[in-house]
Amino acid sequence: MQTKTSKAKQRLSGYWRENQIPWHEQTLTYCNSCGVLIPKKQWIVDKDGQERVFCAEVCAALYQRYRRKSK
Amino acid sequence: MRKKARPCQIDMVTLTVINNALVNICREMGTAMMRTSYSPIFNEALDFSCVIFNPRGEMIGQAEFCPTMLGSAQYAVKWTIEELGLDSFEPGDVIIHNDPYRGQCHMPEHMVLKPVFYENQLRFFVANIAHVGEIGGMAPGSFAADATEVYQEGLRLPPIKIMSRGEYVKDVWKIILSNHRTPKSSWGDLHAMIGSLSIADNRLSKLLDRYGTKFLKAASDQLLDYSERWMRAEIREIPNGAYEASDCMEDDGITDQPVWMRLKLIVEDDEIIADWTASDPQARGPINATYVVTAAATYSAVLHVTSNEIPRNSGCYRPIRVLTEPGTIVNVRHPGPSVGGNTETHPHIQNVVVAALSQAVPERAAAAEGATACNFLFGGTHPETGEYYTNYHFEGCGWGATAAHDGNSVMCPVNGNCRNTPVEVFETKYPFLTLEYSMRQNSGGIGMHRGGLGSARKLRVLAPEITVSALLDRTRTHAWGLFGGSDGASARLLVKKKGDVQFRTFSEAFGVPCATKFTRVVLKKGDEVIIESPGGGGYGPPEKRLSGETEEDLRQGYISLPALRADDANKD
Repeated sequence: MQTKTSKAKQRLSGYWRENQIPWHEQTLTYCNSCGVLIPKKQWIVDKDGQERVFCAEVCAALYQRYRRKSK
Repeated sequence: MRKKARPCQIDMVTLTVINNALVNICREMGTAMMRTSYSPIFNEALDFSCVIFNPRGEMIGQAEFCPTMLGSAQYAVKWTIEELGLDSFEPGDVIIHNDPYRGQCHMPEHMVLKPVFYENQLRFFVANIAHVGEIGGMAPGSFAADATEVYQEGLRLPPIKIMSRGEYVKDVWKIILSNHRTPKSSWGDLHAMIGSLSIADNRLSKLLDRYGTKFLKAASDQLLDYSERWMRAEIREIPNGAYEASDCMEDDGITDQPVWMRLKLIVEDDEIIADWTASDPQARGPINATYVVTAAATYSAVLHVTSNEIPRNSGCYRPIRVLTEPGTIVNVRHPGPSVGGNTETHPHIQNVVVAALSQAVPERAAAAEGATACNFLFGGTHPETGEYYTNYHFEGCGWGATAAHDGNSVMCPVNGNCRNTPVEVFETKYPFLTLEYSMRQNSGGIGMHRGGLGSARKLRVLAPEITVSALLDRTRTHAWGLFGGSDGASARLLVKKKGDVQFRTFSEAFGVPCATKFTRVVLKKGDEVIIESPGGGGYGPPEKRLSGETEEDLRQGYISLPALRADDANKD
């Protein structure tokens, strides 16, 4: 089992982005890790030429350490 | 854990005092709501929750309200803050929001949210989330059990202002009231909700007078961290491992197929990962849960097996991670319907989490509960007043037994924490005569500790016509027992047309495709309905039950002698 420290170190580098969808559009964006709908602020991770969208940094870390392996 | 500079460290006594103040403000909001609302679903059933948030969208205060609303509120509030932007809020504003595709749990749950300003700065948000009993849509009572799209479930409101700087936004009110079947009730109930926010606004201002803004902010932040630390310590007590469990909704009201929710629950040191990604694709009917429902159910289950002393705020949810796949029963994709997901699927999800945890901490777990509110909706023109009415009626069920106790009888399913509506109030408001309301004998699963009993209710129609809808589950499945305890009895919904000799299912009597999930069946004067809610599962082997307890069960009529003998024969 991993320790809390090692979990924290597994965070993927990324950046915050606000979605620029016009107010009248009804487009929905889901977190690639937990599946929650993301209101506006998205944590973006570019890896291997693929952009992944997360609701938070910790969710990106969870994707890296758990979800990606289970998929 | 978040790292940040703290302006001061506050002692535990003061933190406790402040936490209790926040809790009591929420309770006072609830009392105001109960005393001023128009509808029995609020003033009798208490189907609402009052909460306090900080400007970051973290819940810092709540009280003993509905677990499903409490767990999901943080998503609805966060969404509202992000979509509208902190700069958009002004003193006297009230935002309304019920959109399940913007962080709400299902359409009837309406959140009103008010920013609390102090010394010209936004300090808190206060919110009241309440199940508005009639919001339009295809079925009176807005609980369309055969809906296949969210658009059939009523009027959908993204976060919008209904009050702006203390003034009515009349265009919005007109849209709402012209789409609800019972606008007078909506008018009164929405004002009760908004009134509760004003009380909280006033109380928080007094708290800020007493402690100052910096101190109260520091205290609420420390309470969040304190709850997180305590929850992590509790999780550390659970053995590490992966625990699996599953359950199904027996059908979705459209197709006669079970829909499964499957959980792999991983306990890893001080965190829990609830992985629901192996669950079935979303259903056509309205039993789908939104993500926030699944999250709320998972949180609720973990709270059930950990200390009840942890201050309830967003901090205690931080170590619990909920993973889902969009487009499944546990995370519906637009435009799927979801009204039953919050009410019926939520307790199933909660039960599954407890079942998984029972493998790790059997002494803290409970057997399954009835997990259906036996939702029975009706409406029509009242023969005495000539006014249109609707009502969302629900039943208590039997709760699962635990290592220490029998299950509670006739309790609102675990997601609701609501009360029943007294027969006297029910009959005063609606044209039904209650012929029977009792605990169902033999409905609790037997065991070292017995499952709680379900209820039996028989109603007779007094009006020329009443249009009814229903959404029940666990009519063919059972609340499971644990560790040798037996399953609880299933739910039943039956009808007898005037002049008929026997009760039949609604499918037999009216030809509806699903006997327990349907809308808009017209009952006539003299028709009768039986609603029997399920019993809870038993815990532990029955032979370990103390003989005195069995005798008391017989004396109280909780079990019958023939049932006891049949059980003894099975053991032999």
